[in-house]
Amino acid sequence: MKFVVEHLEKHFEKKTVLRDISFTFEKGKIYGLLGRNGAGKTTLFNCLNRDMKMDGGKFYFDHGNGACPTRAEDIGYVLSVPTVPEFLSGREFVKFFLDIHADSLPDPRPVEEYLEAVGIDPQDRGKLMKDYSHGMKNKMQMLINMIARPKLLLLDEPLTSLDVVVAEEMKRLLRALKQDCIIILSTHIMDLALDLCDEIVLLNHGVLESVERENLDSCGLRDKIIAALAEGDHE
Amino acid sequence: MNKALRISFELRNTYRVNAILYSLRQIPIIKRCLPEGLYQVRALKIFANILSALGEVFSMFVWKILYFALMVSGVSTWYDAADETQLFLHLLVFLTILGGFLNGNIFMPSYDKYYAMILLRMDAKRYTLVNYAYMLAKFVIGYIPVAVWFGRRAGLPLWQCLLLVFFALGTKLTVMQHGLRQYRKRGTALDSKKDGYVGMAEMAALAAAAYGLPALGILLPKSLSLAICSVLTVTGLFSAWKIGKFDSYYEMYREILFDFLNQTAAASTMTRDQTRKTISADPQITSSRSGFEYLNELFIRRHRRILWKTSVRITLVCACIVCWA
Repeated sequence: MKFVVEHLEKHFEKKTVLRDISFTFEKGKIYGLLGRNGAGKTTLFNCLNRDMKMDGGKFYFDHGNGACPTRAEDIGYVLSVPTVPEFLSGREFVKFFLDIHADSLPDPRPVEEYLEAVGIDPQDRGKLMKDYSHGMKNKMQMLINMIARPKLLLLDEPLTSLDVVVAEEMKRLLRALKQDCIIILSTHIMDLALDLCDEIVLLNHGVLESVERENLDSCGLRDKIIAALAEGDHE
Repeated sequence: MNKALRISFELRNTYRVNAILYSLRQIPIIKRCLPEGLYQVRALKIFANILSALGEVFSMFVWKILYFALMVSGVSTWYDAADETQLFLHLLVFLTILGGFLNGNIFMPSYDKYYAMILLRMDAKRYTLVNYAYMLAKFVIGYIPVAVWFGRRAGLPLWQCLLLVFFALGTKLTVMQHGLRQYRKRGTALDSKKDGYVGMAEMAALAAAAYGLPALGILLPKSLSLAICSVLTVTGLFSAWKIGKFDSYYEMYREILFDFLNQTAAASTMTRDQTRKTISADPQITSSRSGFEYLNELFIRRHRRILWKTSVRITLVCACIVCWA
């Protein structure tokens, strides 16, 4: 399975944020979308998630037998600032999700097992998510996407503001998830991208370009990425 | 649909019950009596469910009683109309159409809708239709006895009182269908500037027609009022069918809810920035005291505008209360 983006464009009045986004993403990989602040990473995700209308281009899934248009249930989006229903407890949230999607989940497990998988303490499961920490809300958001198993998972700055332990747990979850879907995570933290991602994609001046990792040691790759992103400063 | 209705109802109820329990925890004395894991305590959930049900019943009837008592029957005493029934119908026709536009619940974004349709990924069409049908059912159950009571007092026969109920229902459905048609035509749910001005002008005209015309001695003939009621009842039936056939609820709500979240975030950022601006950063504001007194004086001087604003408000309110007493 591949996710293909062709000539995607997005303008805001006179400013062109996404110029000509074309790329093919493959299943089983975590792609790190690296870019400077204001490069258009979130805008790209909003276009792919259809939260924003594009000004041009298209995207689709390719299962090997032609283009398949994307449906809402094919795409999961994990926001940098997690949004969860504040007046539901963690247990209730998962229970409702499982209830709603009972017919479409291939292998539903008990609620407690899911909460255990993301490391939510038993004493926290009955508390309102209003009282959850940032990391716990992030885990709940991730859990819903793990259960839903979308074909494409978009994570916008996923590990921002997470402590070291929770960040490692989230990385473990992502590595476990990647087998069955395409994961694209956007970040401006290079170390995260180099540590977690199978491929690095730069969003620079409105276009996507892949960074070859072969034959480059960590320092060489880092320098190459910085040079590519800094190119615009000299123009 | 049954499953969607059940889940939607449970979700809304759970949310409301938890909010009630959370509010109880904010009361200092009661907070100490409540257990730590109160959201799992069955007795408390039952208590909160009872409160929630009472709230639903209250909202079903009370607002309608107030509406008829204050805005229709109550206001009609201001006018010297020869025919009370004709005046009653005149007011109801315009106010019902106005209400149909004002209470366009279906297009109003809310966190409930965001959580259900986006986070929990409920089927948008089923969720919308089920909730809308529930809202209309509540409306009809509350409206019937109130419309019959006030209508009979105004001299309307029973069948006309019941026609008013279906007229109100038909108006809501027609307005909603109109909104969905606008979305299909424009390809977007939002055109706030245009809709804002046009909507406000229409509403002002309807309000003026409702209350202004009787003051000039102009009333809709009874037969015309009843004809309008009948027509909108029929258009309501057609609209109900179209509403059921509309299949772009998800795309429409995506747009509405995405904009809602952005506006909410922008509003809270703006509030935060405005609060920051009222705190003075003038380095010349200082104090000659020491220790805690230094900190206190600096705080008061730097936050002068915020502190004064609150004090003035409290003073004005107290002054009004004293003068009124």
